[in-house]
Amino acid sequence: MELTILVVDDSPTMRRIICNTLDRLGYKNHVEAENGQQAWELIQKGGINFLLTDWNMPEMNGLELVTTIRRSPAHKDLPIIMITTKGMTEEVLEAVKAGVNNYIVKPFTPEVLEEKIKAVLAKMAVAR
Amino acid sequence: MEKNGQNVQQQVLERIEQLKHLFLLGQEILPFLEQLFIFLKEIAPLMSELSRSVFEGSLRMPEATNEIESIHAKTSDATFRILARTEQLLADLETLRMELASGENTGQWAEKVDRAHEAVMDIMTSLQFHDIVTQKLAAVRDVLTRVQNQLIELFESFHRLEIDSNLKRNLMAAMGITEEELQRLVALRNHQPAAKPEVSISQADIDALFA
Repeated sequence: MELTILVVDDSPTMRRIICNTLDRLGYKNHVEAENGQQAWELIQKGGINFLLTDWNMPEMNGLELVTTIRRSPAHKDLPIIMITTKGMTEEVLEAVKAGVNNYIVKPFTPEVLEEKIKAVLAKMAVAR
Repeated sequence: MEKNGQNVQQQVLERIEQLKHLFLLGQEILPFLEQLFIFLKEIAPLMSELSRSVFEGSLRMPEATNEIESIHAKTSDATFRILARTEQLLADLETLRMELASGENTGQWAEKVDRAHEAVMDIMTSLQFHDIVTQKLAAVRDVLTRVQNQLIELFESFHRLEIDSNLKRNLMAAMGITEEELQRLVALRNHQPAAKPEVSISQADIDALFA
């Protein structure tokens, strides 16, 4: 099944960088949302099977989005990678507790993003 | 004898007059002394609060300084990286243009195009500094806000002192702040979100958490 990745970030620059990097890595199907609320609406419509989300966002932040997804019976298994500038121990642990599958501190390289996506997908495959 | 008696009487009257002046002075000075005692009683905890605010402010300022240094480092790194990649890209494009113009093919076109592609990707990746700098500046703003809030609390405590309002106004003026300015600061403070100090973690440590 081809991945449809949802990229959530309130910074249009970051969304463009992530989407261009995904194109370069061969992940051509991606959609964008600028905050957690918009992302949650897109997820509920269906068709999203991977999520890359920022933490600091207006309306609904990344952590709230992760919590909402994990509480939803229909979407609780959605693979999630958080990409954020928040690189503090307590914050990473908070994200892990909320249920992220991996965590990347900005700035990231295309290699790091590829490695994390593959690692998460491999773990999901094993879990199935 | 009679003259002596008059002198003594005169001295007694003078003494009484002096005592009367002293009494009147006491009556005038008593409210001031009372205010002074209240002021001294209340200023003691305030002074300790002041030292605490200055101490905590001093502790937090390095956080802001570190963030600003980090912004400077990240901006410089990204700028140099983008410049270096752009220069390389321009040189490769120039070589390609010349080779295309002369009809010469050194067989390195594919390699040069690949290198150009890599350079463009690297430039794009480096542009993440925009978002990072924005967030670092937000962290600096949080630190400055915390320090500002402590100073406002200090001014508010001073404003709550139960001393004569004239004396309070004069002391506030001596500190260079009017009541209107204090109210404006309090209103500003009430519209700001709170922030907390944090400890950083490396990407390698994060990776270990998911291993």
